[in-house]
Amino acid sequence: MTIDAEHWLELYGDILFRYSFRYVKDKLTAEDLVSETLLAGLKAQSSFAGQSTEQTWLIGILNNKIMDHFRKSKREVSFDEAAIISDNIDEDFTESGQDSGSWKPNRRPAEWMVDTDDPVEIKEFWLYLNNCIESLDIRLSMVFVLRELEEIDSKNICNALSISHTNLRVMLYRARKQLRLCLEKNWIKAMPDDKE
Amino acid sequence: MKEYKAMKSLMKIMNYVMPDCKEVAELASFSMDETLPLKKRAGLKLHIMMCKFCRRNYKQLYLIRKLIGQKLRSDDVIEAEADIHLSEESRQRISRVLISNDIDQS
Ligand SMILES: [Zn+2]
Repeated sequence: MTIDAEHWLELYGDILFRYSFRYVKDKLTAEDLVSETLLAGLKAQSSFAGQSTEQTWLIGILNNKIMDHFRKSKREVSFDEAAIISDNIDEDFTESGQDSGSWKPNRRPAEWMVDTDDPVEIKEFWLYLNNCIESLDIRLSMVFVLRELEEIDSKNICNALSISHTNLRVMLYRARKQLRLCLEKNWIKAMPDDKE
Repeated sequence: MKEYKAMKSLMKIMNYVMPDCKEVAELASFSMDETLPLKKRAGLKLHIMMCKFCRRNYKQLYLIRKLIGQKLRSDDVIEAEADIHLSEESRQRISRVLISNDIDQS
């Protein structure tokens, strides 16, 4: 039994710890959640149906542990994706009339002048990105981090978080939309060359 | 006048075929995770060619992904993240938890 867990610790310890630390922001707590995840993994081994990879299966368990942690500590959070999905007003676009479905004037994406070869700009990007991720609803932030920072594909994220494909794509859409806007308002605006 | 009429009906057809900005914004995001059906892909491409705002939105979403990828694979993120790795002590502590649990169970 322990052999598996030791093996998991070696293979996935870092990714589980990094993911956990992003949310709980404390190394010992993050470490505890990793322990708990591996233990729960051992106990639930028979439920691992092989639909996802071992890694995403463990991330799914960890995700529940993180949610439990927040529930116990302070914030009332649940991974109720239905609550996010049902809120389906898209405030970026005109709702009715001739222009229905087009960008509202004050929501139109601005032009970005980014020099992708400038290490300073990239460094700034990374700082702003992490702040913007933190400003997201935790559920949106989780799907975004798994998809774009851990580079896990949609199918595996659905399995790990037990959400439907339809809901995942809506959540990713919203996460990206809010992040784009957040980066535009903060990172792009803060660029020295950007006058007015 | 004839040209104008032809133009008008062409626009009508285009509007029929082309997704609006809202749908294009959704398709832009979906395209990052899956291969869109040909018709959707064509609508997306066509709209983006003609609409400056959707073009910006699309390019910026992909730019964000590109910059994240660039950063994930750069040396300085590896340095920065070295700090967020499980330390040897942590690994040993976790190992002990796992082993003691195994003894409890047997
Ligand atoms: Zn458009």
